[in-house]
Amino acid sequence: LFFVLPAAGFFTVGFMMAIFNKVETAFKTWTGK
Amino acid sequence: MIGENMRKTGSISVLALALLLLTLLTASCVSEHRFVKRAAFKKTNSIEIDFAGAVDEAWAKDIGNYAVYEEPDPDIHLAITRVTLGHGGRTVVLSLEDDLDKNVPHIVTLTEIMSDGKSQGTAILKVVKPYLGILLSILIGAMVINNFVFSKYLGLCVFFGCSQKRSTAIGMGVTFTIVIICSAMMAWFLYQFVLKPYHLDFLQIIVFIGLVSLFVQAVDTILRKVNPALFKSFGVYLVLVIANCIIIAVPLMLADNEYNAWESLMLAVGAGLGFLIALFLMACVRERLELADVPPSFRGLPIAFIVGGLFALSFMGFSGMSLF
Repeated sequence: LFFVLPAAGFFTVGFMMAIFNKVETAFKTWTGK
Repeated sequence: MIGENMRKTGSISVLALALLLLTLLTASCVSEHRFVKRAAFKKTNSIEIDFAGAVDEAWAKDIGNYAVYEEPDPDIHLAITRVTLGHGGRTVVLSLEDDLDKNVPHIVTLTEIMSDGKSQGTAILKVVKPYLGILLSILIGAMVINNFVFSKYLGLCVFFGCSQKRSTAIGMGVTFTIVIICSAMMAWFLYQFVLKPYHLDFLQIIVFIGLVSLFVQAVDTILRKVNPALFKSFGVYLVLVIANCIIIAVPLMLADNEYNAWESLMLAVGAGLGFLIALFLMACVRERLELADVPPSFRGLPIAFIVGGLFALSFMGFSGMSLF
């Protein structure tokens, strides 16, 4: 598990950032700004 | 004339390097007995002993004549399963039940060595891993097996900040390696000769950060004059090297493990080259990703992190590898 953690950390941060980007885009479209 | 001088200097340096390597290699061949030439680890669970002459087969095959234990634990004798005689009786290979921890020196006792019916006395031998092997293990370990970026998740700000272009990545990797080598060697010197003797260990983080900032500032000043284009492409990330986790981790590790100057140098070079490799690999992929059809929400850093995860998975393949 110790060796898998760094890879899991990279993937988690990558997917979280993508989700934030998606939400931000959706919010901007919704508010029209 | 100048070319000839340079060739001479080059050959002298190669000779000096070869001598140094030879010294480091032979430093590990320990033999404290006139009849025993060499004792060394062989494979994962064997010890090979070379004698100056042929030993008697009856003596050699008797397991009771041998005792093997780790130097720190003289009371715990390791179980010998088999003794193999070779090279006309001049070599004995002891096979042990369990794998040996080659990082720990082992003691082998040979009771009353018999050769041609005469006793050659009892020998107590110390078996150690070749010192060059230890140094190379530290170097390869820091560079690939325990790569600081992909295996320890350290130094990510500079890693993602400077991996967009290959030229910037190489420049940052080289700068980083120079800074880490200089600061680690200086940190080792200060730790060994000032902090440790005066019991100021608690100040090590502050002292190490100060040292790193000194070297980064020097590189900053030099690079501004020597290569302004590269300096501009680094942007804020050159100053961020001061607070880089890898650059702080290396002095802390060498202080914790009580490394000597050579081992510290290997750790610093390994960490620097490991970071250079990581940066270069990432830059190659990110340059290609610029032209790829990436989903809009993944463009930029998210896809870079996922690529980083894939690299970390592939570097996981090196974990637990033992080369020397």
